[in-house]
Amino acid sequence: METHEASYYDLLITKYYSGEASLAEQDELTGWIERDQEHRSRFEAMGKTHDLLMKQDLEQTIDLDEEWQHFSKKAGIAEESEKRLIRLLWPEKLFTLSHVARLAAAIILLLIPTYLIISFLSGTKYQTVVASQGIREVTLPDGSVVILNKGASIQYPVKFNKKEREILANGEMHFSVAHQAHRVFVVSAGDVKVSVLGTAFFLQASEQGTEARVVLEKGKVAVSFNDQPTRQTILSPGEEAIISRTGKTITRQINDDPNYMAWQTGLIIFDNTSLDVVAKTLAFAYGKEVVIANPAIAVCSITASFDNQTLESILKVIETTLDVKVSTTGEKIIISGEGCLKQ
Amino acid sequence: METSEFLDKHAFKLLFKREFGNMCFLAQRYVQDAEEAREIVQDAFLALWEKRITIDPSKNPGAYLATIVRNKSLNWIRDHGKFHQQMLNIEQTRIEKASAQGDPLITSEISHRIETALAELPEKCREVFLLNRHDQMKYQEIADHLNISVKTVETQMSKALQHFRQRLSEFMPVIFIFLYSCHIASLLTTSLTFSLFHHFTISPFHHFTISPSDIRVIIHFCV
Repeated sequence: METHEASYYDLLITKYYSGEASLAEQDELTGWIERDQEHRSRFEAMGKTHDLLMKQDLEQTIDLDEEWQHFSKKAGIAEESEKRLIRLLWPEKLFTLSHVARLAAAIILLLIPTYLIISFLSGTKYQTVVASQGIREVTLPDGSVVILNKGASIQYPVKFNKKEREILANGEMHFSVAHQAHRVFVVSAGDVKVSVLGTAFFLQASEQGTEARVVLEKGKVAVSFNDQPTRQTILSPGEEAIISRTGKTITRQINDDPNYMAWQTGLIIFDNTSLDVVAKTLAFAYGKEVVIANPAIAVCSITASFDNQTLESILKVIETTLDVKVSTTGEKIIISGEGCLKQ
Repeated sequence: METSEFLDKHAFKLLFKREFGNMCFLAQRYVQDAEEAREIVQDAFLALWEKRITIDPSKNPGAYLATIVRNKSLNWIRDHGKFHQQMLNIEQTRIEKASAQGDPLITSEISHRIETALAELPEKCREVFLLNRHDQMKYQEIADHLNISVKTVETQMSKALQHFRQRLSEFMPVIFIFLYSCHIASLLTTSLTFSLFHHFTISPFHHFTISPSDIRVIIHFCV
């Protein structure tokens, strides 16, 4: 009886702290609390818990600069006039440290890439993650998981509280997007935009590259150029979109590459795969440069699968199977010989 | 820099940056809704700014600010039909007790524990909790969105809060209630550390129990 009563009042206490308790329920609650010191203690323990959670939430979501901007606008405190003041004083007054610092800050701002400026102006707090050391897994505030390949980076707001969940991406990464019907998940990679709704897909897009690629595993995805939001290419699972920046085209096709996630899963499958594709796959999966010295042997094919093998062991198998020579110099791997062309 | 009789813009900005978070915490304790709390605090700072000439600069503007925030919060509760005098009194008492022990500071340890505890929640429970706390959804909205009953939402939220309470209990200060005290009491308080779910017996002359609500220790001395 005690536990039943306790859990009913736990419900009420929770409702109260969520702001959902009706006045009648608050009547019940206050009566219960004042009936027994134990009840009061229970209430206070929950209150303390709620305090901690509330504080944590506040610390993560309050952006003081944004709040001050909002306030100073409403208060009519002219931050603009300060800037004018600097220009007026410039020729006459001596360089004070604060003036120089403010100018330096302005110059530095101009050099920061565009997307960072946008985040500064809007005031939203952003989190940037760069997978500089190797493959890195990131959990976003909505529970979505992003696996970054080495060198990839993403930027996302600390809290998703707008109509869209916007992510800025650069490099190769895999997304598992948490389903949120009321908030579309949008990934921007430079000028390419991928809009998703509870989905898993792979994105390869770098700011410098001329091509970008999206491979859809499950769910639904719409790919478009930033400046052409209505020209969307919708992908179904198993399909991929090849985005050409130079031609401004998005090509939709069936994905026949089983190895696009090899860098993360460690599983590489070659099914009568030609050597040039093998070379590209290994380069992509292991982050090395793979060159075929004799372009004629690029047509030689191999059927083999590798599960979490080292690059060395895979290359040995290729050497033996295709009768080629593999040599490594630093970050470069060179495949030479006559291979399948040998008489 | 010119000396002024009242809070100038520079000093006000410092006050703003220092107190904004604390004031949001204070307001939210009354109104529960984070967005409303933030608006109340913005309005409070505006009101303070407009009245700045009348404020005695030697007095602490922070205390005056807190009063404005409290009053605006109470007005909001009244305007939204949520005003319950008894409940407010109980909560006020609780807040004062907590302040006396030192308001909670979110250390990286606590922050990490909260994240761990969040990950430990069963999936449905966590989803409901996040929709309420991160996405600011009301119980009815969550019920509609997930196609479950409001009752289920209430239960899941309660489960979540219970879990957090359990996982954070070691960070919450313990209240000592001395029923009888001897001089031994002061020695005990300085040398004791204990976990919250055990029964300790130190000597025939004093024994204390830790109640199941785990924040209250009743110490009987010299019985």
